[in-house]
Amino acid sequence: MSHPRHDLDEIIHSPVRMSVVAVLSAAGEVEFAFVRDAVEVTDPTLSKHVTTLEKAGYVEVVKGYLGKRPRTWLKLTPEGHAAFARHLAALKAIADGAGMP
Amino acid sequence: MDRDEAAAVLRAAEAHRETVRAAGRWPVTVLLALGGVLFATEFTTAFTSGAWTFLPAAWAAICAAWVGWYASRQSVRPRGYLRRYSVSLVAGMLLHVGYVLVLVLAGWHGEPLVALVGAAAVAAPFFVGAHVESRAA
Repeated sequence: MSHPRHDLDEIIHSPVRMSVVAVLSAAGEVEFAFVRDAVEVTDPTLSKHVTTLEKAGYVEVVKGYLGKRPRTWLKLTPEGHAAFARHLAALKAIADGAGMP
Repeated sequence: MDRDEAAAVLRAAEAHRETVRAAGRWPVTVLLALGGVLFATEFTTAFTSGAWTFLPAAWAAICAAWVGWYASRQSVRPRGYLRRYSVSLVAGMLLHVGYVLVLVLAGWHGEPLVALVGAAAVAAPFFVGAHVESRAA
């Protein structure tokens, strides 16, 4: 029997990216500034992690405007939802002690 | 990663998800406001005629403008809320047309009981929508 840690998603496993994906998983779209405040990181840090998630196909970035103010929305793709679900299942298995001798 | 670490990560993730869910419950406010305003609008419509009809219509228009402004300021868009909102809106508008036709064709204009029942029927989809939205994950 393989240890459930092998099922952890390498992209989502980073603490910041895990928080970002957790935030996005609970809504359709979330504004960049809201995610930044919820995860408690700076704009450049969040941008860097969002780029990683976007390259993995887990997050989609949607640009828009409110009047003349630009707004950026983040949403989890179906692949992102599936990867997050698998990651959570692996974490639950570890927390429950699966694969322990 | 050990069991305690995994449990801590799961707790933190759930806390983040709850924060977003709380911020994403604004459609409940919108639907309650629309239901309340439409109830007042429809009830008043049964007792007004001519140019006075614009008075309750103005309440609905002001509320609709507020909904647009309020929705545009939100940072979280719940999954599928537009579809659920559209169902309430279409049902409410169809009931509004039916209510007005009943008032005009049956000659029940000015009947308090008809006004009360009609206004409650038109507002009901919005209150039901608010209830559904409050329970949406």
